[in-house]
Amino acid sequence: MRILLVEDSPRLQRSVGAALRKASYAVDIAGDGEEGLWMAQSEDYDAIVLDLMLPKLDGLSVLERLRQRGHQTHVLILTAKDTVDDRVRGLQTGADDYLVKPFALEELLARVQALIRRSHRQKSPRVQVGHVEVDTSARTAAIAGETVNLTPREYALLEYLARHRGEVLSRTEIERHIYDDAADLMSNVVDSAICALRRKIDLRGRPSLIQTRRGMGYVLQAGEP
Amino acid sequence: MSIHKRLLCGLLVGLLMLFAVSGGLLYFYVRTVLTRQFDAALAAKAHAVCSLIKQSDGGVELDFSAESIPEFGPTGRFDFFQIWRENGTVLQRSPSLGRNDLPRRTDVGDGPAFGNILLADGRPGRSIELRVVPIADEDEREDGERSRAKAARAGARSVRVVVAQDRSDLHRTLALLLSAMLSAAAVMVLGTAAVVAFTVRRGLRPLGRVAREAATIDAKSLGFRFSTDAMPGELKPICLRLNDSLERLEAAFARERRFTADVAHELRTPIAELRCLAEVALKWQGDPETAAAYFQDAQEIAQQMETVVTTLLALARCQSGSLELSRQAVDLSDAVQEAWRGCKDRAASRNLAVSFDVAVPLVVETDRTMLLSVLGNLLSNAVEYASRGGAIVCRAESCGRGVRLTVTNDNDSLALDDLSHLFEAFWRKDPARTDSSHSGLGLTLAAAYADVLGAKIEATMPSPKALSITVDLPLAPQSAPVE
Repeated sequence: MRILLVEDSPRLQRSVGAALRKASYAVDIAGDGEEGLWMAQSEDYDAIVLDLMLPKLDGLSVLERLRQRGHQTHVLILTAKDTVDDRVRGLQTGADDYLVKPFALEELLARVQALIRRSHRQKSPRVQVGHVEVDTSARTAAIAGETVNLTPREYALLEYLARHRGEVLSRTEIERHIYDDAADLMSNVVDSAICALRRKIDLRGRPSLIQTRRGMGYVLQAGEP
Repeated sequence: MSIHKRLLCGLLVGLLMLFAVSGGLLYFYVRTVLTRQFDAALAAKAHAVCSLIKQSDGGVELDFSAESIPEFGPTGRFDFFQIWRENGTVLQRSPSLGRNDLPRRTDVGDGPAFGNILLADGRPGRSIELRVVPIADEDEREDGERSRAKAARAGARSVRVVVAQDRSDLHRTLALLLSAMLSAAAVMVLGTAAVVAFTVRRGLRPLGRVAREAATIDAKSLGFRFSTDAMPGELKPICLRLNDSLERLEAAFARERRFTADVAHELRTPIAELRCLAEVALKWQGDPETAAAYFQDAQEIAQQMETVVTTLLALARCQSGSLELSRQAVDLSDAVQEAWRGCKDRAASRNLAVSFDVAVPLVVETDRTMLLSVLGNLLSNAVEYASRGGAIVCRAESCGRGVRLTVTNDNDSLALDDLSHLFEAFWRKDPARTDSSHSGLGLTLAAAYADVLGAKIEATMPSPKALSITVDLPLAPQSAPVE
């Protein structure tokens, strides 16, 4: 899951960015409105966390232009503006959620998660694929009720595949949604991550849940009986 | 005592007194007129009786017959006369008097004298008493008065005549008049009370309405204004003044609310930063390097908040007038250099060219700390908002009876309209610039301190790309004698 954080305070960039990354999202950060708009248009994000008081171009204008140009990405406004008018204007401009600073970190993470769920049209935080159950709120995977020990990045990969189960996802798509710009991407980073994940979730003697489609990518789906 | 009661009492008492006096005067006038008419009729009767008294040989006699004047006859019940000789013996009584006497008065000279008497049967009467000198029979054809005078000169004997009449009718008429007037007065009193009460209540209604409306005004309804369209002329100026006061009060409240909201907003961002980084640090502990970075952030946030709070406190002290000045001779050149020290590094990092043009020596008597704060804020504002790589000029010169200090910096973002906001708390050209160490209070505090120091502070734009802030400092406190 890739998230864009548009925030001008360097300190909030650092802490919120770190929190989102720790929650196994890939995070891109923009420091002003223009940069934020440009990034939001050039990349397919799962969600955008947007401040309103931004240098160069304010958050509401960013949102307005995104919506005018047909971008459907879910946007959470994170701002110190707390009046009812501000909230109403934000939501009417096309925001999907509104959180006032100061905020509880857990709440921000939960709201971001809810936004992503909504963007994949899921109400339940649990996704069942074959014998694996992915709990997107606890950020865990379980096989037959027993939790599988996954690294944050492995979990992120599994969640991304699970949300798009049955769809073939290219290596580039997977890369974009799982890894930060900052991460140094080697050409086989996705392949090795898939390999590691397979080892942890596949059952012995049964075909793998993650199937390789040559020249196209990977797909997660329950194997044929 | 309410205006309502005061008006009611005043009007009622005044009107009642007026009624009482005019009623009394009217009664006495009518009584006098009626009594005079009664007396005139009585005098005519007395004259008729007197004309019957004749001087005869050896005495006086009365030529009276009940047929000629029947009211004095034995059947008459209202008119009486009695005539006495000089020696006090009764010459004659009217037949209507029977054997009774009419009262005589002793203090009467030749008369005629009128008086109220009590008749023998207890009825009220009125009498006329006079002394008459009867004329002789032969003089009868002569003029009465002249012949009587002649008779008196001749030593003729005189008689005393009292004619009386029952005045029960007059008495009754007057009593009737009195009771009619009293009843009219009672009706008038009640009517007046009702009319006065109604009029006063009606007249004071607008006042009551204003009072009721005023009672509903509180801090939440300061937008209320009294409607002065249908207001009486006396209340209009009061309501206009009240409306003025309400307007000023509303503006002050709005300013206060805006300021409080601004303060809350200014503090909200650093608190959000602090809370977020603390929660991140708590949730994912373990990395000492990250933790150190978080502590660094926390310290910076605390300093930023401290600056805001300290500045707000200083502003509050300026506004409350509780600041105490310690005046001393301050050399401006030293002060400028000292204030500049705090901005030096930032100016270097922004690649600014700075020049000072301070006349030497230039000494003012003022509060050093406050002057340094004013200078520091002006310079740091110039450093922060000058265009990158631009120039700052700081000039101090003697100007009339004071010193003019000017800080000019290149600026490409401000417009002329912005100058009026420059000294407002938390005003920034770009509202998003909340991250810097600038609280948006520096120029506000500089203006407040300048005011306390008796200086005039003003922002101008000498050219469209430059901002100049001028402070006119008095050489010495204005109350002290200036050489």
